[in-house]
Amino acid sequence: MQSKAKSFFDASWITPALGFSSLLIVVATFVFTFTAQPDVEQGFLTRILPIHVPASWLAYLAFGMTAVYGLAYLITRRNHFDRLSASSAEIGVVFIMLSLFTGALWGRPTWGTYWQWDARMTTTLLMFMVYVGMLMVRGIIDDPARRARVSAVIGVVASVGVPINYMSVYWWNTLHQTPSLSIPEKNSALSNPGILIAFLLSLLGFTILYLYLLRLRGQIALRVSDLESEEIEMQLGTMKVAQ
Amino acid sequence: MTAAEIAAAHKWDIFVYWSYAAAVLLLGGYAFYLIRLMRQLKKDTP
Repeated sequence: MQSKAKSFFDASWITPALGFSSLLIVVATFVFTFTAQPDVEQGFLTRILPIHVPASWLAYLAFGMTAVYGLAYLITRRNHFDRLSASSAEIGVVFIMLSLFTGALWGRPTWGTYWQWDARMTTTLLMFMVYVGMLMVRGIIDDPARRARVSAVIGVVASVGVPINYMSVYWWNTLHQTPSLSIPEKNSALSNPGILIAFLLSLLGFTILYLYLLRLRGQIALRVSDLESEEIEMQLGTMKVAQ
Repeated sequence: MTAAEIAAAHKWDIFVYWSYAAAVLLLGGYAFYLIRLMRQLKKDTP
């Protein structure tokens, strides 16, 4: 039973299948977005929503998973979890960059400014900087075990930023509005059905894209780690010969 | 409504295309970079 499960998760067709399905869903998102009727208040600008909001949510997911894998590494000391934690953080940085950029573009026509030091925007920028810092720290530590340990601790501690960032619009009365779609509050600002479908499709497409990128980045990290081990073994071999 | 007023109302609509272009460039570019890196690593390692 265990070998079957392992062969399924290790199957080579999963990665391209995830990539292809995310591409299809993202194309469908584009079709629904660009055929949706304009919003009464925001006109065509509401079409930014199916990119901006899922990008932010995927950054939350990626950073949340960074912490989960980091914690798993600290408990089990399996390098597999360290690779996944670092890969997830890197993907999260890409998504949060997209969120910051599209948010600035949406802010200019609706709020009259690209940037304001409000709670949501400031905490998003802080999260971006913290995770870029985490990746930089990984780059300067040579010892793989120490690098994994330090990175896992940063990943776990930094994940505090995710709930703070989400709750910032409730805790502080600043410029950024509360969520456009909230299932617990049974609240939806998405009255436009075309945009709502595009938003849900985009959420699904981005999630599959995250899984695709995570698998791909994880496989690359495994190969790089193998090369690193070979290099260390060669250096040790050279040292032994020299002695 | 004059043509100038309509143009002024849609002044910022170009940002929608910029947002989608950014998404394609960032996510597509990152995926493309990873695919290329993977191919390179496969070539370099047995």
